Amino acid sequence: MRGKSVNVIEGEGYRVVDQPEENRVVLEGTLRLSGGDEYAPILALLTQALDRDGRVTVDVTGLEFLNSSGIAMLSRFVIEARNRADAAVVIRASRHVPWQGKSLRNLTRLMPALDLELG
Amino acid sequence: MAGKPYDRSGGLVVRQVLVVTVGFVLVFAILAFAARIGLRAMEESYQRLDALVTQNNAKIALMTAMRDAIRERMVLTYDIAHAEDPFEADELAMESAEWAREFLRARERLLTLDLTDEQRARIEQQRESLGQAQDIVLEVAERARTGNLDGAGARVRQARLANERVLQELQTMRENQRELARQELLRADAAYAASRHDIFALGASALLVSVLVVAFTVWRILTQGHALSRANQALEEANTHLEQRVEVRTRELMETRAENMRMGAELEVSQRLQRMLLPGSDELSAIDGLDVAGFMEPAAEVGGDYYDVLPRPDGLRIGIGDVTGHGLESGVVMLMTQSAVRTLTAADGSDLRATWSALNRALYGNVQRMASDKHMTLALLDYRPPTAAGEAARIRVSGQHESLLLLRADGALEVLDTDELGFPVGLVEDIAPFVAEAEIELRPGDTLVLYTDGITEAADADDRLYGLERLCTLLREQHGADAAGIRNAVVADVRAHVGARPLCDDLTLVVLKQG
Repeated sequence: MRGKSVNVIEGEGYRVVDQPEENRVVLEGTLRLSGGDEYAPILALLTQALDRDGRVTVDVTGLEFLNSSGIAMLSRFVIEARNRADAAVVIRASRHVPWQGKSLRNLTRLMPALDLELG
Repeated sequence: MAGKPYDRSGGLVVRQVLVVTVGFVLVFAILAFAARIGLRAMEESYQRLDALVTQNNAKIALMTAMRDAIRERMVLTYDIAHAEDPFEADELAMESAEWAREFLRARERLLTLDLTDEQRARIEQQRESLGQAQDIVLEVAERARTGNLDGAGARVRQARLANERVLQELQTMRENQRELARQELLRADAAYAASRHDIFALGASALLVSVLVVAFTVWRILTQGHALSRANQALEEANTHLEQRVEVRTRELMETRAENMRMGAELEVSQRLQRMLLPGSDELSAIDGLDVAGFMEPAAEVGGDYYDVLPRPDGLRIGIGDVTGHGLESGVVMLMTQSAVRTLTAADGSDLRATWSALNRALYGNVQRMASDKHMTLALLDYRPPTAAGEAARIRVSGQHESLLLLRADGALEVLDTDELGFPVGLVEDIAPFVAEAEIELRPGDTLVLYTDGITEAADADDRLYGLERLCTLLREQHGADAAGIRNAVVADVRAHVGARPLCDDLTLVVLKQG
């Protein structure tokens, strides 16, 4: 958790941390928020990182579960990035977390320039 | 828990009784001690006073007797000196001697008493004076007898002087004795005052101890009273609290029951919805040339699995999909999907890209209205029967779903990935850019198996998943069986794997065997 101004969204069982120094957003835990409204602050945090610097790393290696609303939110974020000419998104994921395989590969189809690092 | 405060207060009572008892025993002991000291001191001073008074009276009486004797003798000496009759003089002299003996008896008795050294010295001196006086009396008496009274007056004066000296001595002794008695009395008074002081001091201590014991008892009773009232208050509060809690809990239970009933009703409704629009077995068996067997078992909380087999002018359209999440919403999305696919199929729908676009827009729009973010995997398979006997049937596959399992007549198994053939329906506004299609040839004896992840991810008691590999192995073994046989074998194997554990997700399986 390095970084001078750390922006954190915390809830039951999850944590989202914006690390401006590395322009990285880390998602951890289990995200089961219901609907786009509840995911809006997290989407805002991701978009804020995108506004700051076109290059954003989204680290979901510690995100054990993401429900359909969360996947929809990530899709919206990737579409937003795709619509910006200068944006570059890296998603760091884990092969060992079941939900990440197909869902994240779909993100690369939304944005072919997206760099999916499956660790 | 409830008995504890009472136990403690029982201990307090015993301790208090002990303290009070010990306190009062102490007070009585002090009082008894004081009384003993006081009585003894009183008795002693009484005895001393008694002895003092007795002795003083005796001394005074003896000294008075001695003085009287001297006085008598002085009178007699004078009488002797002036006696006219020698016999009378003799008689008087004898009487004088008698008084002298009287004096001496008194003196002897006085000497037996408790005298000061000074008193003894004085009495010793008196003996000499008295001796002189006696000698003079005897001489005067002798002279009186012989009639030679010349110089008798002088001798009588001498005797008188001697007697007066003795008298004076006695007087002094009496006064001294009185002074001594007074001093003794003062001492007795002082002793009495001292013992009275002691008694008062002890009495005061006893009083102090009593006051302390009483104060302690009162304090204990008061604090215990306070503690008791506090405990009562706490108990009352706890009771009230408990009542409130019972009320709240009852309400919660009622609500939970209501919620459970509602959820039970919802589960039942969802399961009924899930099953309601499935193709009937008569529909499936009516299909010519293709042996079709379907299976769906919704989980308690339905997973929104979908499958359908619909007739088309040039064949069939088979759909299979899985809505994200569980519950009524997933079931509703599944129903909308069924309805939309059926509508599009009825309205021709040979243009796959247009079909997908319309389907996605309809579902995306509705899901947005539902504000649920549900989306789904969905594969559509357009089946065209073989145009001639011995030819292969052709299946156009599009949409993203689980892999398709193609079990060849000889038992060989092909796994077709569909990831690149589509995109989750309802996730993005426009799905068209992601839609692609693939074609499969289904020759006689070949079987196409469609499933949802409820099959491959069916978990046993130890969370082990059934898995694609086990499914493939089983299918290879079952390649000779008909569609229903294959379906039954898979369902039985999955059930055997899951055991008594409830299903986590819907199980859906569609088996299509080319005749």
